[in-house]
Amino acid sequence: MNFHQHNFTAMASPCKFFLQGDSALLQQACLKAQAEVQRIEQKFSRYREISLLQTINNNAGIKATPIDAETAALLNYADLCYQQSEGLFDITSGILRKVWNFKSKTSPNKTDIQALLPLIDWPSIHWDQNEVFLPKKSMEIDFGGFGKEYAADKAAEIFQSMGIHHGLVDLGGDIRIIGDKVDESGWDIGIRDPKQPQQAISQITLHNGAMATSGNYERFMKVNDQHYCHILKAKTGWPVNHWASVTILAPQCLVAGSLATLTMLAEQAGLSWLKEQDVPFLLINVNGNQHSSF
Amino acid sequence: MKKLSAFSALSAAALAIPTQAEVAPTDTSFSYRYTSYQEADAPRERTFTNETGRYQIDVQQFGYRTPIGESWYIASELQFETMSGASPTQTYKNNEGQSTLLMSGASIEEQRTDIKIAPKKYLDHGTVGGLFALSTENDYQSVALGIDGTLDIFAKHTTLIGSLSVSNDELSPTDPDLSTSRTEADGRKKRSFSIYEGINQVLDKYSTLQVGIGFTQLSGYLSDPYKFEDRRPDSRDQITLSAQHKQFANVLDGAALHSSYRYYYDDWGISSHTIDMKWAQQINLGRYRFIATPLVRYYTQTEADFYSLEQNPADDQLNSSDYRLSSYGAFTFGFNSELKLENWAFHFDWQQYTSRESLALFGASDDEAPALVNFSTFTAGIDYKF
Repeated sequence: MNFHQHNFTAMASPCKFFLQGDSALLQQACLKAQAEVQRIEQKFSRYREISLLQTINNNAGIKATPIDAETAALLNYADLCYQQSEGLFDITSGILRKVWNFKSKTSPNKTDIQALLPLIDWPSIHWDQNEVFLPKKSMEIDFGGFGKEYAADKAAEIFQSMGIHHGLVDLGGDIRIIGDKVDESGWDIGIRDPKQPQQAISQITLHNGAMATSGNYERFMKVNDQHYCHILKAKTGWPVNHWASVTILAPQCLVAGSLATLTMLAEQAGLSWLKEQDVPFLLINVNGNQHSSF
Repeated sequence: MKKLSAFSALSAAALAIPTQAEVAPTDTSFSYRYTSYQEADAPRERTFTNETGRYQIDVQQFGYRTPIGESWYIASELQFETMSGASPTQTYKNNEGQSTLLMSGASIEEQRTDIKIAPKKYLDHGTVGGLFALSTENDYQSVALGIDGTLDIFAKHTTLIGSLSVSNDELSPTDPDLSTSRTEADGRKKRSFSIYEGINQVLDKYSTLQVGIGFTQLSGYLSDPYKFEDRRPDSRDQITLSAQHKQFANVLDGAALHSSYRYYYDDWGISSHTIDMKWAQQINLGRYRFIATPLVRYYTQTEADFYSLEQNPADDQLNSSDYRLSSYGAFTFGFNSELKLENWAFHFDWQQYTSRESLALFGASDDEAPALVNFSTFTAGIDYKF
């Protein structure tokens, strides 16, 4: 059976649907799934003036913003990530990008980072099923830590709900399998080599579920030979520097992505923590040593 | 203990995120259409004078659609029409039993401007929309308001559809002193009330069926002040029953067959049947997506009770020789095409409409209706989405 491919750009990433089946139906489904990805992007984008997220942030220190069930459930999810990571993962930490400019090739100074830390405070956020309130002015939240993975799951669900059983969703490397290939041979997926991200260091065959990778090569800068990556510890405001990449397999892309990010944040302790989770993983540390449970 | 449960806790929380309803479109788009509508000349052997040129209409249409907030979507349209040419004023049977057609002078040149705004709110299980439309030309003003809604049930396999609209039109014929009918019509109103109920059902992965019933009541001045001996009832009740079927097909890069049937009945004695078929074929050429849609439509209607070709009917008698109230049938053949490239879409559409007394399937009459019109339309358009 032929493969049907649909490409577009969303969430600043190349996005791809790879499917097998009846082309008439696939066309329709691809447009619907793409619209779903774009809906999530628009709703939770930090960069679009009219997004819900922007409204929540603009109301910081002023008033509560009404939210819908989807947003409340994502806040609940973010809260769990905060708890499970003992505060290392915090959706209020996006404010650090004000001082971390990975194109500048200069590391920020300590006092600038220190000044932002009081604004990184997830427990101070008031939220329930109906509204959210950021108590301090210029506080902000964002779902950048898992938005793309969430969108991959949602796109895959659209395909499944339309009766499409063979395909995968790839949103900038976050993969969610819709269903196995028609011949049940599985989808071959490459895992990037952190040192040469255009090449695969390993390949894995997936029949179902999802795969997400968090890596120190996605956005970073080198200053005086020191590698600064975009994954920042909420408590200190400084980048992690232990794992070069963490790849996780899980039934849902959202969960795979968060476990990967949480492992990156936990640094050394991440390995034993991950083993306790009993999910397949591939860890590569900054020296290139691999730990794998595949 | 806490760490042990991270995977299952996160999985459970992820599964608890609710599925979203039909989503509001997120694209803002501009569109422009130019349509040229050209009626064929009236048959000289049946016209009283040598005036045979009929309407030529040029239509320019500007569309703008944009999301507002998260769940609102607003579609707006502005349209300019320029009409020129002559129109039939009366058809009557002469002493030899032949139909003779009187045409207005060709001096008619009119402009019409339409504005339409339709906001729509997307909810968890459906949509609610509104419509505001304004149309103005030098001898006719129209305001229309509407609301519509959809409700998804049975896991979205079934959608209930409903709409309600009202309009209020006012006539102000040019040169009202020229004829009694124009004087009479000046300042008169025409109102309409419409309701539609429908149900759309997903039959299987590849097909959907929609059936519906509509009722429209017109009241007020329903005659045509520019025609001679045109005296129609001051109310008209119309009922339509319709069914539309859509079947997707695995041909080339995807295709869909749209078929529809409509039955219409009104208390003026007209009933009609319409059958519509079109095949939308998609073809992908690299980055281009081409959609070609050939279409065919057949229409047949019976005549109104008061349709007559009498030259001088009694003044207290309902009467009209308007060809649109006669018994006839019509074929439309057309070809629509759309070429999409990233944010752009280009449209070229063509249609040819042919109507004849003899094409009527029911209640055909031996009387000629030389005013029955043939026309062709050509549309060129461009859309940009961002």
